[in-house]
Amino acid sequence: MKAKIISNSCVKGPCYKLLLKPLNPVKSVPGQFLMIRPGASDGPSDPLLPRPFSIHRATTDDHIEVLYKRVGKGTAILASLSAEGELEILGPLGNGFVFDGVAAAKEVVVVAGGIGVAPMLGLVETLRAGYPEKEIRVFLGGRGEVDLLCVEELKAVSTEVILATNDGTMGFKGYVTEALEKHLSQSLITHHSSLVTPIIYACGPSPMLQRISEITEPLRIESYFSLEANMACGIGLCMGCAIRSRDGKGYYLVCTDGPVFRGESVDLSGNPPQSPFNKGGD
Amino acid sequence: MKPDLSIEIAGIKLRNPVMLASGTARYGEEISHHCDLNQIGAIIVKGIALKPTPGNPPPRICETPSGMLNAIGLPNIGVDAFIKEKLPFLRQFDTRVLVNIFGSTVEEYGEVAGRLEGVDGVDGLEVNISCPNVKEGGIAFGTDIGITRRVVQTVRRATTLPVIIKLSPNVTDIASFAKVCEEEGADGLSVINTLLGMSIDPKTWRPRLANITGGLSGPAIRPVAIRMVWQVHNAVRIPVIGMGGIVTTEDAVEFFLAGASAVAIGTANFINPKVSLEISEGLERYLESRGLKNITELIGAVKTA
Repeated sequence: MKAKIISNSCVKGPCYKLLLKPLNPVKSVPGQFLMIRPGASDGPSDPLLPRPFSIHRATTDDHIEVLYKRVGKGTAILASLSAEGELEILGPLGNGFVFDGVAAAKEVVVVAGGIGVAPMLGLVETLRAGYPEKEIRVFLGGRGEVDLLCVEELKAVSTEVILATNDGTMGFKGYVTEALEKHLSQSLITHHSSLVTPIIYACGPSPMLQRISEITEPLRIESYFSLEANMACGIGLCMGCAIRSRDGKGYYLVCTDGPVFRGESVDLSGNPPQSPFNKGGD
Repeated sequence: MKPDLSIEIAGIKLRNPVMLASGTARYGEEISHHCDLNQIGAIIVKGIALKPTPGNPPPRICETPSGMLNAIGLPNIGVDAFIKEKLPFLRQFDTRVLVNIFGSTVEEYGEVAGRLEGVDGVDGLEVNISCPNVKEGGIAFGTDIGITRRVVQTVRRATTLPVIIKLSPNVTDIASFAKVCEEEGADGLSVINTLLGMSIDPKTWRPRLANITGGLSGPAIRPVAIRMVWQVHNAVRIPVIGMGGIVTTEDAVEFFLAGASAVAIGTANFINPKVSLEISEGLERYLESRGLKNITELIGAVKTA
């Protein structure tokens, strides 16, 4: 489907925000993604494949926002496109976040690493609208200050935003998972008598998600991860976006079985920390 | 009058000569949400073996200039589950179903072919000989002419269905492999499978695929595929299904001119799952614009003299 580029501009450092108006209005839920061809649909064959991008936000007037990082050939082309142009998109695709456990949870904890924040603003906005009384804590991490995106927007719709950078240029100095661990240990001591636990939503590099699993699984905290993977089609044809399942039976496909998975269902140990394609980049 | 796109290949009558290539349309269900299977010539389903296999660890794919490398590793649900769980879905459509089969030994090819004999909804077999031969140290069946002959003999004895052999391009003289397949009773040839390739990330010094090497597909391989279709067409009398990097109608026309009687669309399905319909419509317009009545007028019509 064709989509009109309403705007496409740099947000911070190498990160851009693309506002699209699809030819036909589409309904999406937080956590779903789009396949976007970086060039014209009948354009040159290099780069050849469409790239997966998280839907950052769906606006009330049927526009779709995509937050992405310029990391390779495809996203460099995308970043160079100007308003009024057209793009070929496919979507929304995949399964979004599940909210079943939110009402019973003590609080909602959202963890985002770097450009992994892309699907999380829409998630937090949706949660805030659906559960106005619920405490929502957002942990935002990056290597440095430049990697922390959407801070003000997240503050507007959450109870608290906790920032963490490896180089200490903003917020807590260290990994975002260390800040998360500190918070969870304190809040679990406070609530030791009750079995009510938080619910966690996370998106970011595989080592971050793996560390969250290590922290939350012994505590039996319900967690949902939005994963990224190399994808050629986004619709289950190529079977390229495999992620090992924890039941030992084989693989899930990130595109059609995910991209949102229960944390304990996937094995992230074998995944390389950086892949040539990513949601919110390529 | 509209030009006639229908064609009979290896005894199988096709509405039009555009097929979905094996491994790019699974068992039909996912692509059917985007592409009307009643309008395509045939679907060649993803490879089926005797027993289920999980496929390779990730990363399984990476993009390369005008192409992609894949080492999906032939995940498959096994022939019995395919017949029971997947074939009923495909039977709903007015199209032809070719079942791509593979094995880890020569004998397994025969067993899989035997299980599909007489099964309602199966119109023919496409035999993948580019996978590793476990008994012979993992060398691909299709790169050894003696083993290729044995695979074709074994499948031919196991079935009365039309048998199409999908040739590996990773050989010095593809025409000699084509002749062996014809001698042993193959009804048609798919030309070509992916080219063996490799890509390394200069940042990490690691191969971009977990499997280290993979199969190259997409427009990057099209000139190689065209050359091989032309060589095979000139070497045998059985029909050729041409494939390798077709994205547009003009690409498909090239294959017919080189000698293909039908074409299959592979990697392009990932970019646009409707592309096979667009190409068959495009072929109709192409024939009309050239004043041609029948797709057969293009087959092997390249002017080399």
